[in-house]
Amino acid sequence: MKELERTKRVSISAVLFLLVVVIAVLTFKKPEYVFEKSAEETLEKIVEKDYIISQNDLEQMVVTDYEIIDIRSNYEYAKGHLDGAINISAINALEKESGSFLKELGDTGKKAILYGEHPDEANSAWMLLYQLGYENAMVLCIETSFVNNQFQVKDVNLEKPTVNYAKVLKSLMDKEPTVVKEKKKPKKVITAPKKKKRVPEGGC
Amino acid sequence: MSKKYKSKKIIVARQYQILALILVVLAGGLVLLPKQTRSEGVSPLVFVKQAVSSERYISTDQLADRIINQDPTLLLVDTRSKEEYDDFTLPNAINIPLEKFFDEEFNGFLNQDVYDVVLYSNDNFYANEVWMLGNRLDYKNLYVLSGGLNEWFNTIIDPQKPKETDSQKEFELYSFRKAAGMYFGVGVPKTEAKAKIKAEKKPAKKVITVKKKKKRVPEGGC
Amino acid sequence: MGPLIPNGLIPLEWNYVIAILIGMAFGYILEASGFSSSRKLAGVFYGYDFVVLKVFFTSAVVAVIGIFYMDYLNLVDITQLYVHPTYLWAAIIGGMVMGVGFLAGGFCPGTSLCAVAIGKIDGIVFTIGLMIGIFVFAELFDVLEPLFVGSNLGNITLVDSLGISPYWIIFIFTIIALVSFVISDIIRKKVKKVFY
Repeated sequence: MKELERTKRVSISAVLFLLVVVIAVLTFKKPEYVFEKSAEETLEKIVEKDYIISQNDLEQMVVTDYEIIDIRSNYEYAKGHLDGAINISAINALEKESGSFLKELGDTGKKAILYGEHPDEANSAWMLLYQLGYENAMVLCIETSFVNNQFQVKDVNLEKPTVNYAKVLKSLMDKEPTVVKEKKKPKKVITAPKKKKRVPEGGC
Repeated sequence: MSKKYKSKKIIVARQYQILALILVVLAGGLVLLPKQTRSEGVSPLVFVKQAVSSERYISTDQLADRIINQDPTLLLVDTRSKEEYDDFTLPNAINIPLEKFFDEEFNGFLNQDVYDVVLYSNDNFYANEVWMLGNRLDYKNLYVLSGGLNEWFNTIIDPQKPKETDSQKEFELYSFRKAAGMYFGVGVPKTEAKAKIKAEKKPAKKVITVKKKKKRVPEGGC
Repeated sequence: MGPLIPNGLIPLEWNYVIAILIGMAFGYILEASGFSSSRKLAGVFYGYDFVVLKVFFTSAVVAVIGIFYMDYLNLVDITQLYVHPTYLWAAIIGGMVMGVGFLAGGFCPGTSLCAVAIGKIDGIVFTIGLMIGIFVFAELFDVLEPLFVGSNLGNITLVDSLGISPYWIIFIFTIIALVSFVISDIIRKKVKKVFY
């Protein structure tokens, strides 16, 4: 009798174990979006900066070779946008339709030209797409605004200092010297945080 | 065990044979399952949510205030090239050019939870790229100086004098910026120098870093 | 998703509560399967009872398969789990000392506490001996320290040192476990039965 009980217990626990595995497998959903590029690869790419094009470059491209995508909100898009632009706002980029649209675009070999209010925004969206594995996206380096009921587009020079900082500061200082703060060398010490390992659980 | 088994000359009972089979099948399943690629960092959904939010931006006024108040938790990071950094940079900033993001020497400054790291470049662009990489890898406490050094020069170093018709607020902001500019080494015209400029003190934004409690590692053992 | 506590799905404060609950369940299982009997534990050495071997091998196999399935299904992030650092010589010498103690006393530390809980005198004596051992070790720690902290190989696993896919290791490990079960059964049949 005792023997019988014990075997039953074993069978029950084995069945439960199996059941858990089966349920877990059945409920398993593959994450729809996975980053395909590592951060290192992305960095390599963004240092190159070859995916950023100006309006001139765009004009030289064949019209059937690209699709312009406006990544601003629907509202901004409705007010005004580039000719032939399609609206996929950045926040909806991971929705089903946008994903399949981009995939189709990639399959046909067309380029997706992203633009937003500022190249920054377009670049953020580009980084998202690139890391997801869409390599056919490009950033259009323009600033757009809506002034006086007119949709305005302006070319931007990225990372161009408006003034020569050192010179201007010097000229401003020369007006009348005041307390000039000495530049101290930074002496911040940061201990790189180690990945915290989890606490071990004891044996028997 | 019992007589029954002996008479049948089975080494183990049927139940145990089935159990053993289950284990083998499951272990074999692990070998046969298609392998997935795992990517490091946050999930794309989180990434988008963070990237769209403008929480990462800190204004030049806020930054000036924190520098002047000598906020010990502040760490300025210049993301431009070495030459530009040598030419001019903000006080006490360290230089981490974009391409050096993963250098061991520098990565520790970005991947930490002690300081509020404010990233800046000439405008937002490089700083933003560094921020986006950090976002991907789930680095905490990274901020971007809104408008970068261009904005810094337009507001703190060389602010526009408000028009006569502007509100009181504009004038207060202007005087704050003038005073801040003095701190950063701009000379003041004599007429204004005598006027006592009271900079409105804004409370520095406190950012609470959640410290994980360290636990004693219990020794295992049976 | 998991591990649950480090990822904040369960507040950190619950850590010890859960630990106590699991500990109680563990103690109950040990006692219920007769591990508080020193004869049963020593039986592995003399070859008349292989329950200890079977239980620990089975639990290891079940746990490792379960964890890797959970990792595969994104339920647990396996890289976040703690891997005990390997101190090679300390582990070898400590293992031998423990083996001798195990055989002579008939308990391992966990089961000795089980035996104390049900009032076994040999268990109480064993536990007192355990305390004395801890005291001696603490007093001699200065002498033993080089051994204790030396030859640290870091948090390595078989995957790191053999360079084989973990899935294959698990599969081979499972086979080894099952084969050892069969062999132990054969040995047990050949050895004279001991009633205890």
